[in-house]
Amino acid sequence: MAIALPVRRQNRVLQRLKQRPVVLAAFAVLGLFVILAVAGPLFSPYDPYTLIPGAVMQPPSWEFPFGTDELGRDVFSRVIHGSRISIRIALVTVSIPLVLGGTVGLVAGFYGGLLDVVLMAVMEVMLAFPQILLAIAILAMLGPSLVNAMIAVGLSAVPVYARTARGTTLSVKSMGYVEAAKALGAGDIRILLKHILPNIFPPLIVLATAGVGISLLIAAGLSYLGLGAQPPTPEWGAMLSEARAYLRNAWWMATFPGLAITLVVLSLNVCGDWLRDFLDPRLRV
Amino acid sequence: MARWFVVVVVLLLLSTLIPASVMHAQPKPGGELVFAATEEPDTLDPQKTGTAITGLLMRYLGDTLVTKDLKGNYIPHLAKSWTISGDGLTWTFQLRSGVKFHDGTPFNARAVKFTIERALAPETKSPIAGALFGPVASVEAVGDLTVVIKLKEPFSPFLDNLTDPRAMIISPQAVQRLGDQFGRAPVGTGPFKFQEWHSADRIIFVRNPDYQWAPSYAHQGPPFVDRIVVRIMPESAAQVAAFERGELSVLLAVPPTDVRRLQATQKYTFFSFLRKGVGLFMEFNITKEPFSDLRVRRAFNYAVEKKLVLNIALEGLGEVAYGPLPPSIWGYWDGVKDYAPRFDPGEARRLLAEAGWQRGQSGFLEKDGKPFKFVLYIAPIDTWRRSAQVVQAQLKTYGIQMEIQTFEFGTLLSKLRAGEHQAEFMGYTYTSPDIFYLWFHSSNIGKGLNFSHFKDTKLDELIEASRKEMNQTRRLRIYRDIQKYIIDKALWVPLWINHFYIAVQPNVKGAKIHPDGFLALNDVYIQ
Repeated sequence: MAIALPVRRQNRVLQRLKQRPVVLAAFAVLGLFVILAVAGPLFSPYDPYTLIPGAVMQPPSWEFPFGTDELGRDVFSRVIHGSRISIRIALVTVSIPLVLGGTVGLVAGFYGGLLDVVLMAVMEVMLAFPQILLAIAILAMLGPSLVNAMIAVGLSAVPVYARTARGTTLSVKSMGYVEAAKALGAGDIRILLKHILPNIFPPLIVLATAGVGISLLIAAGLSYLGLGAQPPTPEWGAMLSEARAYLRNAWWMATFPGLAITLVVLSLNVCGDWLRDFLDPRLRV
Repeated sequence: MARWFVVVVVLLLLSTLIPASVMHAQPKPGGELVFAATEEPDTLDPQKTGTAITGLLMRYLGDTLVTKDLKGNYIPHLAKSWTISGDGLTWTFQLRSGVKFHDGTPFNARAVKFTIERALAPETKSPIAGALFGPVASVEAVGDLTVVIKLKEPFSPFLDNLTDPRAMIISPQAVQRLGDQFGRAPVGTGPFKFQEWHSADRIIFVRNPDYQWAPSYAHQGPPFVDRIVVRIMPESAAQVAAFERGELSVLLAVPPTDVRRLQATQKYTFFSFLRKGVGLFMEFNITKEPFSDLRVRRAFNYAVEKKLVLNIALEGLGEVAYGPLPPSIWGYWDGVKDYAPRFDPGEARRLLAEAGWQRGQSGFLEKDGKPFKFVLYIAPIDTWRRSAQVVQAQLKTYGIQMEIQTFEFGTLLSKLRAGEHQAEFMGYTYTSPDIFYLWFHSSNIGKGLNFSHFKDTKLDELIEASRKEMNQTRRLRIYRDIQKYIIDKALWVPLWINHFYIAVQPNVKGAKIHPDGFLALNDVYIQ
């Protein structure tokens, strides 16, 4: 996002970030996890799937910084590998509602009438369910797997995006430049894509940034419940779920994946909050 | 004066010599016994249940006609004696007098007739109890205390089946009065009476003060503890924590990871026994590729290093399994260890190659351009998940890709019945070798436990013969043939038989372990 901004604004971004060291730290944490995800194999000392006989449930040591799990796998390597899976979850669970919810909201808001009523009624019904419940219901139909969990989490977030997109579309639709484009004889498609879409994007991006944290948490929750990632996938939620049986014997098995989830979700929320403030014209100095 | 003083001193000295254990040996009535159940019962109706926990609870709530003592011998219980006709078709039971149900109604021949007929009635839809009574043709009450049961054909597992807790005698009046609600407020003749059931929380039984018909291995008279509280706690780690905090009197299933740690504290009394059943085996659906090929199934039996699975998944707390029966069930054939395939990677590779599976460019086995890939269905049980990942890693070295798919137990069972799976992990607990009928007879495809979907006339005939044969020596020989045949057909990869561990708090005295794998509570008292 920041990369696309002109130089003058980029400076202002940095300036404002410097006033908020917590946000800067959050961005740094996210950056670190992205690097780990991309270059994971370079950092992980072991293969995350290989069982090391004779090294079952070893406490953290120089050899195994985060200890080993119940099958003798290196927890450090698995947590690093897990960041790659989390990035995938983040991308998929945000793209689905961004595209689907965005389209529904855009179309409903622009055309109005019966189409609006029907589309938004469906969204309202979906909104009536807590997101995790909706995701579990979708998973029950699709069957448990990591891919299905990502789809379920993505679909369950659609109504929130649709409502935001519709609301913004309604306000943008009545802007002078849209009226002007209409007066000049522009077609619906052209108005939707050229004039409205670019203007409803910022609030959706803020929603997405804040939503990634929640999506990751729900995906981890689903894996924790055994509905998401299947063994031996080192998804953090799944690791946490497997570790809970050994809490009294091997604290490190649950602590490190749990810490990873906490750090990433917390950082995403801090960044999302900041981004919302930053993009809010009323708060702009 | 001096003499009087000496007498007192001697008496005092003597009293200190009497060991404390003798002074406290007198069981003290009162108190409650708390234990946890991992799963909630589906119902407490012994005839309608399919869950193991209900079977266990019925041991305390009900009595059977025949039971087993602590050595496993058949002994009278609600039946004083019984005779079997020469052809094995007519069984006559003399009932005990003076027995009352918890609702005050008398136990008699009519109650026995009612119980068996209800279990067999199609509308009861009994998952287990109906099968226990198997080929019963008719039940007749001759007078108040004599029952004559006629069978359609000889049925050798019958006596053992009568000791199953699900064959307990139930109160006809209570069934008629409660209807469908009988499963929420069951009435039997056992040492404990049902009191309350709070779903997802606890079940409470109270002492039956009228209990005067205990089996011979327990003291005569009502049990000592006032109440049994069964707390429903799905998480095994939570159960262990509650036990260590002293909230549970008994930990019925100590997880393998906690066994050595709890034993090391030397605080608790431990009971352990080999499971009556195979704890874990991989079962193939022979109607699905690639396991329709016997060579592939046999290759798997050579490919898996069971000892390693046992050591990692169970921390070595069990035995390697070779065949469909464990040594803890009568009928087990000792020769199985030498007869069954042993870990032999070379032989596994040879069989896979013979079946047409060759290493492809990807490094995985391929046949006709398709990779060797299959999905193993498992239930969310910790030791199963650990075992699955060890097997997965082992199979990978042969170029076999195994995916693991977890399903909640009920869902898993319905998928296995429908035959949607390629292979699955399963385990069983049963008291007799008649498990063969439930697991391998073709009549149990689709509705029972025949998850391999193996339909074979020879196996069916062997199993039917084993059920009809009344001569124990000849019956053992048939069971040996069945075990050999199942190994020949490689329907399973038997993996391990676990040791069960029960831990008991130091203030709980008099607990006895029954050979059928439960804690007899009649003599238990709280100190």
